[in-house]
Amino acid sequence: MVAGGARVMAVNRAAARAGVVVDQTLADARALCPVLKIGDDDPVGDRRDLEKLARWCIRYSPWVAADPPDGIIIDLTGASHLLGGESDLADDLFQRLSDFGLRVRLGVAKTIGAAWALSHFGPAPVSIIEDADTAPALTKLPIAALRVWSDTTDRLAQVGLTNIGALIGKPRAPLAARYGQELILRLDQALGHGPESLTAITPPPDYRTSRNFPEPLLLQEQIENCLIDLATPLADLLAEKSLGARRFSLVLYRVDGIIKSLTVRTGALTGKAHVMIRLIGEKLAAMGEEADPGCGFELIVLNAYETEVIQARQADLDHPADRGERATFDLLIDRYGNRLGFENIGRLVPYESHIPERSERLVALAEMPQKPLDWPVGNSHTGRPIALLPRPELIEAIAEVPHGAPVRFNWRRLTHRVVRAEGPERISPEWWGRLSAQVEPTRDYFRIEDSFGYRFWIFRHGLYERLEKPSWYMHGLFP
Amino acid sequence: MNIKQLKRQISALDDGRGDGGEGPAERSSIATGCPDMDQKLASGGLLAGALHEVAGSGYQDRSAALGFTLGLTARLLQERPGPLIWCQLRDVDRLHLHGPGLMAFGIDPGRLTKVTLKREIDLLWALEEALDCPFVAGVVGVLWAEKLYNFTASRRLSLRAKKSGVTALLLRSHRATGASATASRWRIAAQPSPPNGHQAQWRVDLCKSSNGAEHNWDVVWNHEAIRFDLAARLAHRAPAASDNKAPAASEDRKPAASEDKKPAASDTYKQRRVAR
Repeated sequence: MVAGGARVMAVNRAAARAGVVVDQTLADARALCPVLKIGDDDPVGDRRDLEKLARWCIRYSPWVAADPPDGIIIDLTGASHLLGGESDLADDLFQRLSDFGLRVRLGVAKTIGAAWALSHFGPAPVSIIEDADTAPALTKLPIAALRVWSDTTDRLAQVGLTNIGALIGKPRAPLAARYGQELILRLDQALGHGPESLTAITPPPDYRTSRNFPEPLLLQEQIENCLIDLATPLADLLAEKSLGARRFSLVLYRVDGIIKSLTVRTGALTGKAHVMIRLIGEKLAAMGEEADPGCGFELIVLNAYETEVIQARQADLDHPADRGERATFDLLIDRYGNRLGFENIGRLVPYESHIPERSERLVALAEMPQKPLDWPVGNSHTGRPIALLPRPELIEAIAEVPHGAPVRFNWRRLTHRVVRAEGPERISPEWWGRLSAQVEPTRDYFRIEDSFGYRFWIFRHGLYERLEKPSWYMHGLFP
Repeated sequence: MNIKQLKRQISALDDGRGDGGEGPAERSSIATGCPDMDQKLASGGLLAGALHEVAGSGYQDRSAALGFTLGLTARLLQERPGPLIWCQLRDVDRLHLHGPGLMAFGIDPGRLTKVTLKREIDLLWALEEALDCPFVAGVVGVLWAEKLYNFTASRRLSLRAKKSGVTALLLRSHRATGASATASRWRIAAQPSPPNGHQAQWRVDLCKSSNGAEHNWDVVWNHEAIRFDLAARLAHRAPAASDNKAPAASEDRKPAASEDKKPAASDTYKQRRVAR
């Protein structure tokens, strides 16, 4: 809201016909047109919707960027031939967007600047410059089409420079000196003399295959068949370059503009069609209701990300016969990972620490180093339990002598009478850890057996002689 | 049609289903390493390519059951190459396998692939899928609390195991009841260890087996030879001469060990009731 009350931020065609213009006060606009329908300005929502639409535009090319407040830039390089050339693609895009109820203006040109100029000030809703030289087509357009500030255009208009043609070929230095570097930069960008880059809204895939369906797909079965049709050429494409990918995504475009997508990961590089089909097919089946086809899917895209050259594995030399079975195991792990999360599939790996709970780590299989550390073989700790509690649990213990094992203790509401104890095994805190945070007391571990033969691993936390007020903890169980 | 004919029909159907119509395959077994146990088991050991259930005889015996399962797992890992899939639910109360302890037990922790799951339904799915993969050495599932595991689920698991030849071990709760299609069921109770060593000793009950035999043994786990051994009979007998403290201690413990645990437990229960 600015001084003078609410103002008009945007108008549709009907309102413009009634004489409502942007920046008018709402009171004036209502006076002009009493039946005016108004809604609150929502820049955040506009931005979100624009990005959603930009995502939808990825169907034409993976390089798409939103250009707020109301533009979308698509890089058609190498993509237009798939739809029969630039003009067919532009017509198709225009038609589809109009069907969504949007008022669209399209510009297709060799530079972003020229395309922007055409889309905002072009002669027709769909304007195309086929020529590599954009200058002739731009000469008639106003200077505002160069994406420069309005005060620059105003000052240029004062000296009689109103269209782009008036600037082309003029000495650059005086123009830059008087009207700023930006004018020259924008002019160069529009004419293709200066660089302009585009940041894609989502990282584009390394490889992709897609299929269009004149008759939208409605059944799960059809989608699965389509998946097979897409995976096979993608696998061929990858195999040709001996590449493998670690991430695949299947994107389904619904007729009404809604996009459904699902992503699967693999632990090892893969380029096999049956792996993609199995993993994606399972995810697709798991989506079930969520994959609501509505009026059907008209375009399905399969993307491959994070591709790398597959190195022949040395390990395969040892057991060439195991190769096929090994692949079934990799697939099993990938399927686990995609359904349960890769962080939940892991192996125990030793870690350099003598604090029991820190002496091992569960490392996700996907992040396993090629050559993990071996568990120490010679030095097997017979004093270690087979299972640890997630964290040590406080117990009430009564010890006869300060340094001895307890004679009786309560754990989880059960009283245990100790008949046999071995220990203590003293585990001091790591001295390098003392620099940070608080000093952790020393632990004295005991192996305890109670009167029924249950075996436990308990420790006293702290030493009496240091007046640390020791407490007892249950840490693990022996078989 | 008499019973015999019906039985023959059923077994024909069973075999056809289990092996995909190829006829009954040769099924090997995994020896426990203890000749006495292997003799009593119909297949000369734990039947390979089948489902086996292990449970503790009480809540506190879960670590003993875990130990027995790990013992079978160690035997399994010796028989077959490849990784072992260990499926376990994620829960605060669960016991987590401890690598150094496994090393001491005779298992290379590097061969275990641990799958942590949130729901029992995922656990059963993961077990089934793992049984389909011939590359794995074995599959172990830990089911402390079970809601979905029933006869159908066990039948599915054992059929898959039969088809692929992969052995599945299922660690169940002591409260587990109901029929299941398991090839064998074991019930484990911890026992006081012999006086001369801190070695795990268990009373192992075979409650269900393919030949219908029920047996029990007192066994210890031999982590050096990686096999089960019968517990020494003499271990609990108090020596006649009491020249040091040890016999006194073992005698002191003997009544507690020979008495069943249940009376003791119910005694404390009674006391509690009285106190109330």
